[in-house]
Amino acid sequence: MDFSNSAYMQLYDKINNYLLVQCIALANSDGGTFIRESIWQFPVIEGIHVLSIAMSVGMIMWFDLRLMGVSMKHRPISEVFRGVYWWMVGGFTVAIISGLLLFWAEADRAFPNIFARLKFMGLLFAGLNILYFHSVTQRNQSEWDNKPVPPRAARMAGFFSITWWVIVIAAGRLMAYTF
Amino acid sequence: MISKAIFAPFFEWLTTFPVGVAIANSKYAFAIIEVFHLFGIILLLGGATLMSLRLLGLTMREQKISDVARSVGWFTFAGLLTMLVTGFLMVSSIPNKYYHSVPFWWKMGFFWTGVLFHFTLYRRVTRSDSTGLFLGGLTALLAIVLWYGTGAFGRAIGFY
Repeated sequence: MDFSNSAYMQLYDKINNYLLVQCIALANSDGGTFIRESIWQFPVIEGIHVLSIAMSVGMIMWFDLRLMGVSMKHRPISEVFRGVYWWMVGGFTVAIISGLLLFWAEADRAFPNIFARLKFMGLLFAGLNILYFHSVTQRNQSEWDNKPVPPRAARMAGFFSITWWVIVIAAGRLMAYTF
Repeated sequence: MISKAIFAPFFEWLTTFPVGVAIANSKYAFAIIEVFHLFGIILLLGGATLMSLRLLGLTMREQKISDVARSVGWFTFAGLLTMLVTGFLMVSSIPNKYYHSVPFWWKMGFFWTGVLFHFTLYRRVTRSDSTGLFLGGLTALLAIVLWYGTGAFGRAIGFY
């Protein structure tokens, strides 16, 4: 079947072209040009972005490993969560702000890039995984909070979290090779 | 001060190292190795950050310092080993670029000081539960500066 001229593809092209035009305008704005063409701003923001991702993922990783029953097995899951939560949120906030500044400077090249899209997809699924965990899996946490190896649903939440972050990090790094 | 010139013969030899040549001739090998290098530094920074925060009394105070060290120790070591192996492979593929890169030598300074620190003071302090806040805090700050410094200079290699 040929979908290349279907109504869906035409709509996709229309949205894609509209967003691309917006991204080109964003990158060519005064702010985008200022970040991109500077000697120090771009590398410093990029450095902060990488290190803040390392900090936030490095923190959430301990909670995911605990959920998987791999690390800190004899501590309550809620205790491990409390221990890493604010550090993870802090690192993630810095990563989002620095990431948006980088996108501002290179939106025209990032938007059509396959790895950038993969990174955004990974972020979206990581977010959905958190949402599902908090709204469904965590409901009966009191029953398994102290278990060294929690039930399958919780272990899967930890596994998928690590998987999405691996995708986000790998795609983010590979973006630089395809710009 | 150690001059980088003493490492020149090693870098010269690296230009003929078959694995490095193969990586240089491959379209994807370097990028894939670099992604694993990044995973290594995240494992290392994740372990060092949690341990440092615990030493400073800023997190997981319900757990003993030595218990946290036991939980994160192998992951931190795995990160260190991954960084070392992938880092060596990356350097072996373009030794001339790294030899002339200023941030690379800063990274090496931070990294090898970090390795030395990891297997001496850091190991001693994190295996004990009777270390005072001053020595614990100093160890935590050193871990943060050395490993985040390694990461920052590593990223700077791509720019300068």
